[in-house]
Amino acid sequence: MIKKISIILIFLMGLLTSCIESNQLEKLAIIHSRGIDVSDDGQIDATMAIFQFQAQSEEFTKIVTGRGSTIKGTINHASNESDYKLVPGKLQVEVYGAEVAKDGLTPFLDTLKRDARVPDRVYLTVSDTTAKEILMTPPKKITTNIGQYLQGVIEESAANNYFPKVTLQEFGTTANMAGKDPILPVFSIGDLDVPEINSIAIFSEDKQVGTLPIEELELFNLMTRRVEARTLEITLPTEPLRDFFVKEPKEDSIHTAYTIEKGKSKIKQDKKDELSFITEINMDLSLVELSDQIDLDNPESIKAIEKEIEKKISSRYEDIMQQLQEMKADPFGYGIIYRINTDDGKLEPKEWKEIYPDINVEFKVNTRITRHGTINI
Amino acid sequence: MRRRHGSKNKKDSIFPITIDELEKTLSSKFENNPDLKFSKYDQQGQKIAVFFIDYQVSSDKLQQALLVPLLGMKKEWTNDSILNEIPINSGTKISSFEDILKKLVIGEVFIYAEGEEEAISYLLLHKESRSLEKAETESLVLGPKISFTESLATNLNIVRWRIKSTDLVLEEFKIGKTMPHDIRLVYMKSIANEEDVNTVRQRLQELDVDEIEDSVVLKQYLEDSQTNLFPQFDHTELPDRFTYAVKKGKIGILVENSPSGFIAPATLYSFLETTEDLYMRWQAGTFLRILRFIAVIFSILVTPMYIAAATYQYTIIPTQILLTIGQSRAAVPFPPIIEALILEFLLELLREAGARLPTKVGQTMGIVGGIVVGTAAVEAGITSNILIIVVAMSALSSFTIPSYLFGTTIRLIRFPMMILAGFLGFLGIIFGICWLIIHLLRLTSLGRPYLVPLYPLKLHDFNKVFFRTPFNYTYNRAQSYRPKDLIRFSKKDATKKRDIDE
Repeated sequence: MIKKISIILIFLMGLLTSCIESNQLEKLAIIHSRGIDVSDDGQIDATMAIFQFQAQSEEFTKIVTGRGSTIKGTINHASNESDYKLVPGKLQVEVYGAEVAKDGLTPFLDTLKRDARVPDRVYLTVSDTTAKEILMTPPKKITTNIGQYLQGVIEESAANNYFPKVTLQEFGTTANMAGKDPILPVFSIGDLDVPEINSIAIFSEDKQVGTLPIEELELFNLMTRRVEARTLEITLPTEPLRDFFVKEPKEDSIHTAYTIEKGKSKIKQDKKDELSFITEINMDLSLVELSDQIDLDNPESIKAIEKEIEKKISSRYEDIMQQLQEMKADPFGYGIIYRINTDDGKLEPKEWKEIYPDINVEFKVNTRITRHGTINI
Repeated sequence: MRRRHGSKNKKDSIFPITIDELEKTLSSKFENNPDLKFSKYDQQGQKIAVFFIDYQVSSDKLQQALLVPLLGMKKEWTNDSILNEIPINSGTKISSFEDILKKLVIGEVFIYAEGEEEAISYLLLHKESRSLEKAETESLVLGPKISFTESLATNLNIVRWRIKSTDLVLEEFKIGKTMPHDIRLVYMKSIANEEDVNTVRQRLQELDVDEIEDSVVLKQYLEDSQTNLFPQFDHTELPDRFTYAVKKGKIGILVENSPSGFIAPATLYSFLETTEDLYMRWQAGTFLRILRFIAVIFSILVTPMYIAAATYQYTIIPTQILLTIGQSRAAVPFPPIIEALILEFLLELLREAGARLPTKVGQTMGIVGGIVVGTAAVEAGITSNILIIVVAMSALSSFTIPSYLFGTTIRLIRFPMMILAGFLGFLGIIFGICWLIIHLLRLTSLGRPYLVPLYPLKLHDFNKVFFRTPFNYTYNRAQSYRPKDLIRFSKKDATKKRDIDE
């Protein structure tokens, strides 16, 4: 009897529960990328690139815009423009307008983190003007739709070790971490009227405090991870190398290019002075281009070039460091080293922001040109 | 039981009897049946009757070996003289009328000399059987191609020739109360686990049925559980697969009139093994075996995953495929579950039709079904083209399963999984998988766990089940079945290097 009743109860449990909400692919408008701007009256303007599928049309991408005081509000507003249900589950790229980035990203990151339906692996980027401008790029200029284009640019540059892709998770952890600040790629409309990454956005916590030119990216990469198979362009002065030229050089600088075979960096804190840091950068280079002929068979010439590269790179690092200290942004993570060596192992972000502009960093660059190739003319 | 039957024999003896009376009694038992041949012969006033059923008896033998010497006998016809003179070795004396009737049916020839207490019977069996042919349901690229036939004698002959050892036991049983079938229990005396042999023997002896149709039916009678989906004994028509299992310590059963035998105990994995894995080099054998494992999982899961992803969890689909699926789905008016069920139903129809139709028509239908209907269904907007690929992949991977019975089980499991996916998405699939795993864990085959060696874990057996290693590592038999003799050959000797001939 009990068995019978329990079978009936289990059966009823199955019957009486409602179905879970279905998200049938062809009844959805799937947001693929989104641009966030803030208008003058404090309302959020969201521009969204969506996919929606219709039987009769080949066109499946569409740009919709929405306004509201929250991001969810903008989606609701935007759904008036689309006859389908807008869902953020496939959000891949989020672009923030320059103004938004300056005021801090935290309010916009909240819904991304809180809403479990938004993927954690959404890439964050900054526009140098408004996000709308990037997303409104006419689709004729790019071969695919804008969302996939942006995603492609980010992933492609990450795959080539060019610009590390920054996902929501990475940005969130770095922004909240004491002693390290995040960076983001900056998109701008380039010469060909298509969006391209053209500079590095430097953040202090969640606020953008400035940009650095994209040319310095390799130096950023060297500081944060092991670099392999990247091209490095350096312009050297001719004066110190005068003895080694085959012919008298015409200009007073020589352009050179190298492949970084192996590049690593290490930060050490000075034992005596806790505000002094030594950054060692070790690079194995392979010389791939010279704009003027130098007699490379002479071992002295290689040594001289190595020395000049070291000088040049240190000075570039020092420049960058000076700018970063002015911006009070620490993307290299000196604060982490500082924190590790404090007595209690704790460091408040605010505390570090006060100390940071006063730290001394000495850059020691060791390069070794392992190969230079041969040319027989 | 049998002994008691024997004592009853004496009671219903009708002998001695006159020939005419015997004919009358027999023809009353074979009413409206013209096949009983009853011939009377006369010699010096002594009468003798020879009776048999026409087509059950080899008439050549009857003529040459029985009638010629019998009628040419110079001596008086008595039971002893007949037994002595006739050059056939199987003559027995029978007095029970019931037994005579039974033996008439299976092709024995009776001689009755008037006035004797007993009749004499000779087995001059004539049995129609087809010749050995290539296996139909289980196909091999390498290795022996012949399959079992409907004749038990032929099958036993094949098995004996494949295992030339005095250790091979072919125990005889008769199953079926009214219409008995000959059953042979095949095992290696020195290897097979005693307990398992006893279990099978006990199950065979205790089986109380009127008749069995085929070995597959007997298999179902003997299985541990009737209520579940999975076959618990391995069924095969390939002698090499049968003897391979017997040689590894399993127990085989052959049934009269059935072109296939079955092997016990079985595990889930034994249905995915073929002897071909052994014929290949070990790398290829490993690859093919793993391929089949993946294929089974794939076959169960791929359509439900499509349904779940297209109905609920669209986020797991990579963007590029999302676009293609989305565009082809846009034209379809049904939800994914209905769409998939329609297509799977179509495919099952094709399969079933292909199995029932004659081979020549079947081939055409396969092409018509596969290409024409599939393309037309997409163009008509009944299904999306991605689903065609998904369903085709699922069907293709289910065809890789060597055992037809197990393949059918996999075919069945897909449908509840699809419905679960249609109602609950990935949650439903996980629910279904959990249910399946629990079910499999509880299954036994001849009292041995169904998932061994994975559960309970026997790492030593992995190279016999999940992958293959070079032969010098397979010096043991699988521990899972607890064979009497675990060691096949010396490990030390197998791994020894022989650089120089001494």
